[in-house]
Amino acid sequence: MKTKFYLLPVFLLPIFLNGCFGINEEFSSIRDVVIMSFGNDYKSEYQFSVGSVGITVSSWIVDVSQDDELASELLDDVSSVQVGVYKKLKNAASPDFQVLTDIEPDMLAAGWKSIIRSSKDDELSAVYVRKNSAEILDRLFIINYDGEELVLVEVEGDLKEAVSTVIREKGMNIKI
Amino acid sequence: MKTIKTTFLILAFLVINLTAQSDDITKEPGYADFGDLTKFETSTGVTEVILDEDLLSILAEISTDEDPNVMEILNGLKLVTANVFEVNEKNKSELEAKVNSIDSKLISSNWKRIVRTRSDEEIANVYIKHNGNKQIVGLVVTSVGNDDEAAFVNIVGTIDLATIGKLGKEFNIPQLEGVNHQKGKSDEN
Repeated sequence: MKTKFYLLPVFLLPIFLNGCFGINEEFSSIRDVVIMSFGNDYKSEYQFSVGSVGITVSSWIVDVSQDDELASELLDDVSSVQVGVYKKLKNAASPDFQVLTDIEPDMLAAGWKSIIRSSKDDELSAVYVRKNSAEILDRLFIINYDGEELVLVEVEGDLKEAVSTVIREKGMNIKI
Repeated sequence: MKTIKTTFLILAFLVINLTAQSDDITKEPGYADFGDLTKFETSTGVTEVILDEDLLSILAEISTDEDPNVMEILNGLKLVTANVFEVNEKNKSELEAKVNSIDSKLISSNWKRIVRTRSDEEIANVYIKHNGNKQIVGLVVTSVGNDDEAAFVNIVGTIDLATIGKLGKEFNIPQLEGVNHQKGKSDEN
């Protein structure tokens, strides 16, 4: 009976951390397009997604550990996060803006609209947004490549609040 | 019955047509077509920013606490685009040629040049576009700096010249911060 009691949290843990598994099909199809354009020469270092309950648990941890209201507010508004980190296997190459131009039709076809694309200081970055069926902006996709590591992040949730919170706290600074 | 159907169809057509027109930002009088800039998109030193009405309204909400004027300015905007390129020996003359060709194109499309700077260090122009009600509905900034950056900026929407400096501060476009002062000077001459 005692053994069964100890095993209970093991069975309950996946329920509490629901969504804290692999990336979804949509994310992986964008990943494939991006990786192909970036040279198709990468090894996956981490790939994971965190769902609403996982984010809630994370926000409790942030609340307790850091006393950082900003991070906590951001996590409150986000419903899911998917992250992929990929290491370039051979011949680390300088970022080339053309890659972002090459993937643009695929991103557009998948409903993503670029708001920032940049190739500066040996780093390539792009930020895309997407609206849901109710025309509300609820998804953000970020691509970052520094010549050795490719990072893809998709955030879903009330981005209006997330953007507001970040800018209210950190200040708006759109460099032109 | 046939008349009602026909009227309904015409109305539906008009609504669809008007909606399509209002969605097409390139039809806005303040929209400036810079032509093909892709040849300047070399491997590094390229930045492109496109903020549409939805994103600008989000930014407007954010500005409420800090400065209500900024919220008002941002709410009147429909589009902000910026293309920035690193200037080097290879592309400098082409970028200057681009700035000059945009100048001719804008002037011939009834844009008013309110700032023109020609120095050893920089070429910079600022233009505004009025609608029939004398409101400013578009703004363009073009510049090429020596060993620095070239920028092509277009702001579409209702803009108040008195507060244009705040827009420059908000979007970090230094050329705009002294515009009102310089516009006053050019009006006096």
